[in-house]
Amino acid sequence: MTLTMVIVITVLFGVSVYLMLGGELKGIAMGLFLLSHAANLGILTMSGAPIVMGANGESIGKSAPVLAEGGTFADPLPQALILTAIVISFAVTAFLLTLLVTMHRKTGTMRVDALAELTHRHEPAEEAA
Amino acid sequence: MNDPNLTPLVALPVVVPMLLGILSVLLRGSLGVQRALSVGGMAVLVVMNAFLLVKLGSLESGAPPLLYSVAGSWPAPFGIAIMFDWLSGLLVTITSVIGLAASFHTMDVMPERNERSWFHPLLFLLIMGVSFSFLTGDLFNLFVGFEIMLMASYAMMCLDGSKRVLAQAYKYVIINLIGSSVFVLAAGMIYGVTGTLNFADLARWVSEMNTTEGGVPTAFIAVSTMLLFVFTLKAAVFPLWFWLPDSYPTMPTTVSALFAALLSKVGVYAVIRLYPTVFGPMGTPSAEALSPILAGMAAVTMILAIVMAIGAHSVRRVLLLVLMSHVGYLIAGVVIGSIDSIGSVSYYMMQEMLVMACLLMATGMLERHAGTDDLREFGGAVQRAPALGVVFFIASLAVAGIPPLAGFYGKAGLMREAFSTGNTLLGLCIVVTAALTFIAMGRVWCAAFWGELRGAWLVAPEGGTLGTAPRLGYAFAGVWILLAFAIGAGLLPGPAARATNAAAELIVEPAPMIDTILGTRAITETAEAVAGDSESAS
Repeated sequence: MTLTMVIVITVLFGVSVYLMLGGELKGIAMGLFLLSHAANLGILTMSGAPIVMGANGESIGKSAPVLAEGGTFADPLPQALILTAIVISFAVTAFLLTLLVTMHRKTGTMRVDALAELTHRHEPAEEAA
Repeated sequence: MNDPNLTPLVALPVVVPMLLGILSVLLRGSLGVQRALSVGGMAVLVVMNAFLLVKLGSLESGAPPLLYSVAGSWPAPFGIAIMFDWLSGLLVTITSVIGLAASFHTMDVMPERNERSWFHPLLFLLIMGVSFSFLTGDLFNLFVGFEIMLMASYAMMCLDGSKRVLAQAYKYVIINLIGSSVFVLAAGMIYGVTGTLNFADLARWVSEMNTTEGGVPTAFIAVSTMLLFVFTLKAAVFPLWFWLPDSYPTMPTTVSALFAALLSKVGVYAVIRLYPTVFGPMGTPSAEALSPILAGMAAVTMILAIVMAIGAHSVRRVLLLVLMSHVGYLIAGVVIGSIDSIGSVSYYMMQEMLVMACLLMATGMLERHAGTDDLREFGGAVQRAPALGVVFFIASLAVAGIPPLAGFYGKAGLMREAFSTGNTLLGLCIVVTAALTFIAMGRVWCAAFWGELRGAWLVAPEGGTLGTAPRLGYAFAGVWILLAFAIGAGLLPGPAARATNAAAELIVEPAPMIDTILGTRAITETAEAVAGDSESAS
């Protein structure tokens, strides 16, 4: 199971990096969404496997921390973390998309290099001097 | 329940700005009421935080200087902790002081159209996010605090809505989104490796692991690097600083003062809070692996940014580059890692927040006079705005670190610690940067304020005479509030230094903090151990 998850996460990360390296803002935004999915899956995988820790050799990881050892419950904490992270990334995603739409309306472009030219033309000729 | 350190009041600096922010949204119909609410609410926050500081100072001498609260009365590693010690307490108080100054400053400087579009609610939410980041005792909640703060900052950045602003804003949003994703992943990994996210529990875990053979697992050092990447990205440390000089100068000056004073310092705070105990305690393999990297980043940040500041032509850009260069000091102090150096760094960071906010706000006022902040286009401002010249002069001296202003003590302490602990190279960088800072600030003051009157303001505004100056009464109130606190910290270095040293002691030697926060847990563990022993005996 862990191996499958690792492959999925790797692919997600790879695709998101590929998308973010493009010069198109839509692609960069999509890359960011995939990045946050990859991070969430990463949390789930990372904290799922039981790991033997500490001098006493108690195992922490799979079961709920409140139950200490021997419980048959899955650890709810990573899921709580992911839930929080999803809600936050939902809000930020909404904001980013709104920003991109507004920007497209005002500037008429979604290409990063065109936007860079636009800002340099507006700035006082600091770099040019 | 008789724990003198336990008090639910420490949640107030987070809860009150949230409620005031919501109230401010409801009152959006009237700008006057919103302004009054901002000033009044921020004043209440300052008084409340000062009250908490007094409460912290009046703890009996045996107890560690720390107030805390744990959500839902669960014992600490399970319940989410909020910690109010000298470091976070002073920082939260300074945050509210800067909020108060900003709510004064914005009335005169920000165009009314921008101020109407949600500035006041966003100000409260920004203060809430920053305060939460400072106070939280839990890694994941640090992430949540960061996000609240960033969400408010994204919106604040786009208040203007012009082409030029939007074309810079998207960079800021994207860079921080990448940072956030890495942060959340790293926090999950820390939980996977250690089984806890509580700062005190993490510190306990690291110190226990370091006493066993082999020290902390290599995976932990790797994840520490990821978290340091996030924190140094937010703090704009070389080589992760490229986003700051582009995005900050396009914002309204009140907003860029808030961002420069608060947002970049939250990243530094996270490093100060976590590096000495969790990521790189002195003399451990993790410190050996990470300290040289951080020291190099700090040195390059200091020198390169200050050299760029000397060459820059706009006042805002010079100030922001000086600010970035001084972030290098702060990181250098953390790398040196002695109690005195962390104390000096905390002291320096607090005065820098006040003074930099003050300088950027003063630049905003200067722009209202001169119409630009490009040093080649105006000069001799002291003839038109002498009062502003005084403010700028005092604040520049404070940044340059001239005694009796507060910057001097922080820098002097940091230099002494650098040389006495054998970090000669880092010490030399600090000395050179201090000298170059003086040149950079002197250059700005001479070019902008001293000398002949020249520039756009020779042209009289339509209908007005040459003598017509913009009304800046409220803005002056704002900058003088900041300056008064900064000068106060310089004139009373004794109490301020005692407070920051107490903060540093608790950070470098966290045993009392761990015992206080995990107190109940330590007892149950002993009980379990006793029970386990008796079982194995029978």
